[in-house]
Amino acid sequence: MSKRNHLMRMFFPQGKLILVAALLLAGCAPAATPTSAPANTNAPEPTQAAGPTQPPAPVKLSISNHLVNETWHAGLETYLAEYNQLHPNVTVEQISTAFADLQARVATDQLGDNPPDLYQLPAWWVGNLAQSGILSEVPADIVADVQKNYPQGVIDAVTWDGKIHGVPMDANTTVMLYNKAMLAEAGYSRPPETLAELKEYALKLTKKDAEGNTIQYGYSEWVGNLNSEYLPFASLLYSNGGDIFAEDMSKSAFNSPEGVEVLTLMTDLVQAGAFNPELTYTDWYTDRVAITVLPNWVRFYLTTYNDPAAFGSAPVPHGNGKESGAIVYSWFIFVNEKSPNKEAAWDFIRWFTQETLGEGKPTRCAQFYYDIASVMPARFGDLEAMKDVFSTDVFPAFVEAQSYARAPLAFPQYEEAVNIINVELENAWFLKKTPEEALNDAAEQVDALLQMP
Amino acid sequence: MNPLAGREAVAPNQPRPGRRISIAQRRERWGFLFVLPVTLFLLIVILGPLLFGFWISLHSWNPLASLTEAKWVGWRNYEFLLTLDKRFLPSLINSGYYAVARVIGNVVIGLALAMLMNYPKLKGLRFWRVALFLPMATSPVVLGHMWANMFHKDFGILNTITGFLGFPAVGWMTNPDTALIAVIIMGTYQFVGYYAIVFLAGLQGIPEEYAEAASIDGANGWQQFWYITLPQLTPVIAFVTVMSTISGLQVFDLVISSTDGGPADATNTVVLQMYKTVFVNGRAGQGAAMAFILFAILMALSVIQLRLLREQRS
Repeated sequence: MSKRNHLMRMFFPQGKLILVAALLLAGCAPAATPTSAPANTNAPEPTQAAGPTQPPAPVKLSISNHLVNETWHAGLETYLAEYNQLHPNVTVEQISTAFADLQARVATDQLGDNPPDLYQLPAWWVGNLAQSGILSEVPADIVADVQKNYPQGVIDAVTWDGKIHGVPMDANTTVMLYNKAMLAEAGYSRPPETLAELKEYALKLTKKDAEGNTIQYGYSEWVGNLNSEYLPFASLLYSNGGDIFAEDMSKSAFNSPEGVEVLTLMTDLVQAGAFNPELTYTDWYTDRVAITVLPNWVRFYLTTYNDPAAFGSAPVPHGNGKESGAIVYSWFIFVNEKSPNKEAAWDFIRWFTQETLGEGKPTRCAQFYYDIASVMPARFGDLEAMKDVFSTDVFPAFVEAQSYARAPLAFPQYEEAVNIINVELENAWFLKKTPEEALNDAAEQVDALLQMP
Repeated sequence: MNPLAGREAVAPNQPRPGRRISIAQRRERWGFLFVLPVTLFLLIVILGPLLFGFWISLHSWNPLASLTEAKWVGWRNYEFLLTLDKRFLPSLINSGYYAVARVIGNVVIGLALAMLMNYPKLKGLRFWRVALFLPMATSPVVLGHMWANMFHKDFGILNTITGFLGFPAVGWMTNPDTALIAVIIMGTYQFVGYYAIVFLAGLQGIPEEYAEAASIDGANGWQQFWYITLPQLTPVIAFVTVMSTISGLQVFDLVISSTDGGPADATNTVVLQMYKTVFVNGRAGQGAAMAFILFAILMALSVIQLRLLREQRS
């Protein structure tokens, strides 16, 4: 007996029985599809050259975003329904994931067979996304539109390696916000303009009870959030003549004397009880903090929990003889390189971000973002169309900042670098390290990231 | 029924003329066939990902990109984590503190609760069992949010109570000095009921005669506990210690839903750092290397713990 036969008999002495069983099982299996073509709901049906009555092939687009909030989700749903009505052959559906899980969602989507056609994601991920090959080529007309209709900071925010990779949907600038009543009570008729004044104001605006406990803080930030810690620091650093990185991006520059000066100001305020790093933005809009530096989405909370008219806004205080700086960050919409419906997806983007709701009215994108969270548009035309809204309460300083604000540096490890800087800022705020030590430690780690391929 | 009934008797170790395999061999082969599906399943489901994970740990790969983009880096991920990375080792230390504190909490409080439940006059034992088991059956994410609210500096019930007693408010989760303690309290709360039930089962397995004999010999309650109950519970303690250490070093969901590793990385545990390395920082290779380092630590700790307890028992 051959070796093969021996093995067969060894493991399958009842071979005939197994064969019968296998045939029976095969008989129970569903019948094979007669055609070899896989079912693909996204793929357009083959068109025939029959005549003009042939309806356009149906297209199903999916858009991945973080709009898990019911109101926000429903807000976009209205526009998607409108688009479907105007384009009966196109259906756009939303896939919403909580922001905290969004990156993991994108990664798992990309590994799957049917990733979304469109994404609405933070533009500070643009470097990482571009490097991963997710971003499809932006059509030339859209690139030209972005270059013509958006401020430079916002264009930079969606640019990586010299290329625009999507369409900005909003603009979040950082400015100083202050409680008007608190400043007036302390005898101030205008907000602080320089870093020295900021310190002086913050100390004077701090109130303590008889036991020495602070009941009103002169200055605070929102600790524990990616953008709310780093952005105020970076804005103050820019306003003090410093920079985050060296011009050639070869190494960190935030641990410069200008950076140390800004962080020392903060830790001085902590030690004086004027800045409590345990506070959040809720403390600011509930009248426990006099001055803060935040992006403009905080206005949404003012309208919800307080009165926006009770607050003022002004450029971030600057170092002596220097100009105020700010950061502008954005969310952007783009088409997935893996989408089988790129053309239809870009058409949707054109409609949503370029076409207005009518003469003298903003685009749907601008209206949507303002309606859901008081978010400012980035498009010049939208700002003009909504100037009545954006000239009220705290908005003017945010709008003005669009002209001089700088984009977050969109290198692939941006978010990791910001996390590192935040941790070291907290180490300084909680007095675990001196400002110089904290910034040098952060710089050492961020420099290691910059050296990564 | 004798499966050999009616068959020809064959002398042991004598091959039957004309047949090549014995009944025992045939049974063995059928046995192999029966375990084959499970073996294949385990190979695919357990060993497959493990090997894939190890392969990834030797590469540089952003999970957003295709796997074909993965670049071979050899042991560099391990080298980076153990020498240059300033967040990995501190996160491992945080996990270590958490695991040790939770083991102590689970053993001490769990055993105390079990002894209370083992008290013959205790009423409503079934209720207490369910009540203690409830946190274990609750989603850790829900627990994380629940405790985050209870620990809230301004609105939390904990500070409200201590405030009534005249103590100043503590930023349990917002201060790096107290945040890890808060997470340890949450983790102990989550598991202590489960381990109390395990201890209770162990206590109920100790023959009552031992205690009676000791009592006749004049041993007091403490002596009975120390010289009879505790040695008899050694296997249970070993189980609780090993399981609690393993799950303690793997803590993730409770942390991400309460402090997200902050403030100032005070609660940044190794698995949270692993998750962030892969999904936030886009470095799956380094994340996988962290997983294998943790795996090696867990293996070593488990072996040491079991050996120590076995020696103590013998």
